[in-house]
Amino acid sequence: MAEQDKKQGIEQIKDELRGMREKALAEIAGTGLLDELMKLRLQYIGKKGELTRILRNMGNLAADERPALGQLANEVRDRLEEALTAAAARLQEKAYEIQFRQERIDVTLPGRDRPPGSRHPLYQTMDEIEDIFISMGFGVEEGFEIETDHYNFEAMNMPKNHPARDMQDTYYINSEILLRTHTSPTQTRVMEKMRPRLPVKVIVPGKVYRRDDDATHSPMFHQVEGLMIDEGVRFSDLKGILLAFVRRFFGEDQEIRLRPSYFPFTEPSAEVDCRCVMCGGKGCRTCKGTGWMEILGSGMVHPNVLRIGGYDPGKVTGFAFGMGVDRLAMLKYGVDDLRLFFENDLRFLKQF
Amino acid sequence: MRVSWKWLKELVAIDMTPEEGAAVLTRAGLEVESVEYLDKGVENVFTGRILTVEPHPHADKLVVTTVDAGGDKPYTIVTGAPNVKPGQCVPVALAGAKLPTESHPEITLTELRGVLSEGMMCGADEIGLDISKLTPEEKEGLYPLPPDTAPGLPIIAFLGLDDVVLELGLTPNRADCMGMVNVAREMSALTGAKLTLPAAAPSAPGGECARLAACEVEEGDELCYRFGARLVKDVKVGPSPQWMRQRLMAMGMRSINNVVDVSNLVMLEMNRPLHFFDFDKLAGGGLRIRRARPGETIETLDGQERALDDTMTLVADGDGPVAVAGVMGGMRTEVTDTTVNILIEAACWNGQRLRRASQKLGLRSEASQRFEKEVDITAALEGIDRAVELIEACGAGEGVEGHIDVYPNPAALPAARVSLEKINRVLGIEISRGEAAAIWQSLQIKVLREDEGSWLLEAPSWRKDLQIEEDYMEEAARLYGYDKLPATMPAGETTQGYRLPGHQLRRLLTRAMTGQGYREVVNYSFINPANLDKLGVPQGHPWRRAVMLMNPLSEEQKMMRTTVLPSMINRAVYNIRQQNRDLRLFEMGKTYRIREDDPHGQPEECWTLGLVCTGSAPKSWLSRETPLDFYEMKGAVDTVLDAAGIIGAEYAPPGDAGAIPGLHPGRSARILHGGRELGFIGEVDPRAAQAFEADQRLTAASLDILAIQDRSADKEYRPLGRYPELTRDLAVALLKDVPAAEVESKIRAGGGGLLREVRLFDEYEGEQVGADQKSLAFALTWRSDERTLNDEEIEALHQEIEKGLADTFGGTIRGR
Repeated sequence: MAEQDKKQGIEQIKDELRGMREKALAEIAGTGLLDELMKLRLQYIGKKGELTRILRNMGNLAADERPALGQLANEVRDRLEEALTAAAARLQEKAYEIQFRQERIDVTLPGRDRPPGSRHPLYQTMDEIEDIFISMGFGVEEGFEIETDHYNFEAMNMPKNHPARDMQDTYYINSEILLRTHTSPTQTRVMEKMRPRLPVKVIVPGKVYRRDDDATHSPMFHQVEGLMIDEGVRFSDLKGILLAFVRRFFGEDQEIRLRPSYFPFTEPSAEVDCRCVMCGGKGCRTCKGTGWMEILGSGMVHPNVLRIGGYDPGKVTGFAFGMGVDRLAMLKYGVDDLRLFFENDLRFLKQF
Repeated sequence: MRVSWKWLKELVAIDMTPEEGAAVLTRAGLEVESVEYLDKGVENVFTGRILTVEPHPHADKLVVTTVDAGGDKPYTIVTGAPNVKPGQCVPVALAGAKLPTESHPEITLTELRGVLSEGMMCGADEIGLDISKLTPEEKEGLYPLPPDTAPGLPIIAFLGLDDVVLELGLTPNRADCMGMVNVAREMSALTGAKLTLPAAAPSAPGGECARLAACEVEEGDELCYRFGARLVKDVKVGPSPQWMRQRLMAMGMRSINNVVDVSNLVMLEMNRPLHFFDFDKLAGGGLRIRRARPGETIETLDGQERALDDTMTLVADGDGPVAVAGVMGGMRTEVTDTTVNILIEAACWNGQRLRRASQKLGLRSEASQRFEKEVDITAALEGIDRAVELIEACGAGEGVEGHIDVYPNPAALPAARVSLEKINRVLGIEISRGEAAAIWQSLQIKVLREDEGSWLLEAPSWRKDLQIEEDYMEEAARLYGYDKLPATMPAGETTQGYRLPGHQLRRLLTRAMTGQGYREVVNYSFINPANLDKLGVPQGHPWRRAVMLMNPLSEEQKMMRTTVLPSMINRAVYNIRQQNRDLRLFEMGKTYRIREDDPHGQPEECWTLGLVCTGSAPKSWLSRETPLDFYEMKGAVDTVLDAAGIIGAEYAPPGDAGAIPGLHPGRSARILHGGRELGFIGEVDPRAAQAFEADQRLTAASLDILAIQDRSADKEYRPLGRYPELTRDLAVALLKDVPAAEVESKIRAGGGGLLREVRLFDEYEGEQVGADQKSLAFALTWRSDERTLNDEEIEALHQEIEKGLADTFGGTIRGR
């Protein structure tokens, strides 16, 4: 009988455990709140919970029966733990879902205003030119906008009454002081500053002035002068440097073309064209059908200019070039009216 | 310089299209600016002679003509052209003709009021002529052809419009190419094509000519290098032959008569301007070349009486001036229809003198332009001989034997030593000795001596631009081909690129400005001085001591700006007019100052940062509209100064140091740092705003870059505090006119070394404080580098500060 009772006892406890497990699982599955989940944990597998209570009856069992029951109890606890953890994760997830739903904002509304500033397109262009030449080892020097006749003309191999002075309509302050008509006077200024050091390898950006004011001429415009002097500087080096510049500035597929020209301060002299950026060289209105666009003047520094600057033309040679920043900016950005640069209409400035 | 392709091909045996020719010349430095086909696409237009003119049966304003245009029978043509008469020779467009006009691009058989018209008689513009070069008779109505024109000739060929003109943009060194012969020489050198140049039989010195005429040159080369002359007798002035008319028309000149046309043709052909005198009108005693005397006058060929002075050179006879040398002849000795004997002058004038004279007289002719650049001296007499040859060929006269030639100092042609090694070394190419020699030969450069590796070279007389070795180097490069020049990188050590410190600072400041939402503008460096009056700048103010331009194009360009204020205000006003009312603009540019120690020397150039703002930052769904006012700009200025390492600039009301012109006295300040004035800021004075026609409030500032550079400190690391910071607020009510900066500095003084930061976060006026009071609220940040601060000691310090504020300003501490 006792045997029988015990037998019955263990089965009964096992049934009880199973029953509790099913009930607990059902309740866990049916819970929608984290708080309730905590309660269920305490209720079933807490220290004072159902499981503990059921196992208290284990004392009546034979010692050899206990392990089997113990195993079942552990299985039930593990199963419930697992179910609670899973339920907790599910509920946590659900809670976030609710939070996300509630906290949703209209991401298409505009952001907090930040006023955008901008660099003037002419100076963006100037910066870019400077950066390219700096990367090729050129220093960026500065010069005067109000120059003397000596530096602007005489030192540039244009003595008084030189016909080439007519090419450049000059603003005068007095008979000896003027607004520089080109950045070339900086050639002599730089040579005087650097002599006798070699190499001289600089560019000089700045404003220049000519007495000309119409749709295609501004009385003030911008140039970048280039000057390199060393032993053994070649005409072909000028071409190499300018080709490298043009490719960096307009694109790697660019080509340049040198044409003989005349400047009093260079000999030989060359006008430099690049492929028309509007039509890619096929020929259009901008390039007058030639496929080429004139972008700068250049040449080998005239021996007189070297001499005036304090360098011996018998020992060193040099090249120089001068490019119009305004024109390059027009080509780069496709600006068709020079005056836009100087009107500074906000609607124009905002595009850069 | 216009170049007739047909004429060029007569001079040099080139076999290429005009476009190919243009490319060859352009690549050699004679830039072809345009290629113009003179036929303008005209087809099926012929010379015609009007045979009969009858009224139109159904129209008053039309007539019915019959015209011989070379076919088997006359054509019937209805026309509305006025003054149509039998016997007239005109261009006739037959059915199928193409014309360069928009009204009749194509001619078809057309019935006009019941009469079939088989073509159209054409005016000058309808056959593509440049009417700007024509007389009124030529350009109005039907284009008149010479009376004896044979009918049925294609009009294009008849008028010489079967030609193409290359427009050369010549550089000043290549003025020789203002003559067709020299263009042909160039073309021959570039292509190897054979030259066929005109060569008139040379006249001999003296002879009959020298017996009849004489000339004396005063001052020699100062006025005139050479004066040559020849006589032509039995002159018969009349129309030029058709070929000469065609040639001149293609070259852009009008045919006048055979004598004038010969003169022009020789100028265009040989770059040799001539002058023709009516020999019989010259007073006796021969010609004299001399300076004009003050007070002398001459009536020039254009009918104008001109005052002369001693900067001008004259050709004079016994009665006075007969020509302003090289510029224009005189009326008194003009060649007319009745002229019998002509004296042809071929001179070489001093170009510089001639240039000044032509500028002074405002006379610039085809001839004077050539003389300015100085024409080929050695070829002077060739020019006259060529003219005589052409006159004789036209039957317009007969050359008298002999010539006059005053040429006291025959020009020595410059010679230069040229080294092959240097050519190759400097150009970066490798041409052989033979190749170089071939280049010299093709350009007719004479080798005077040939040494090992070098030559002594003499330029041809027409190439004045070849003087020194470098000039020949360019010739070598030109003929070698600039195209073929390799692109190399300079040899030698690697160099480092750099920007100067001032330049770096300006870039830094510029980036800071754009970061603050300011947009960069570019203003002219010169302004209208009236801008200073608009600003209300007092007389004697330094801004009035400005560098002035001697020859501005307008008042707007007269004064080199001494301040950026007007430029910035004008830029804002321009934009406001364009409806861009909300603006933050800046400029990094120069202002210019006369040097006190050298008022007539080179002025000082001062980099200046100019700012202007106006309007408002628009409201958004997150924020209210905020004005772009003084405080907006002050914030930007502080941020920009911070970028340059300048912290804690002071803003001093202008009171003590005097008002800032153009700015609101109550809303402006000088910006100071370490005792140095960095610039100023302020709202534009309403009176100035009105003067500049600004219809909204503007704020402007100006910063002196050199001062910023001087005050700019290098950034340096200080250890981060290891102990926690404490932040406490402090609000004080005090009189309205106490400047916040003074309160702040009092707080700082009271706080000592532990007080790390003082930030004003509120300014209040209203009910909660007295009517004459305002409340300022500050957040104070405390920290020690040695320990954690406790509340008690901070409380004690706050009480100390509060007491100080009460004592100094009578301020009451709020919230206590």
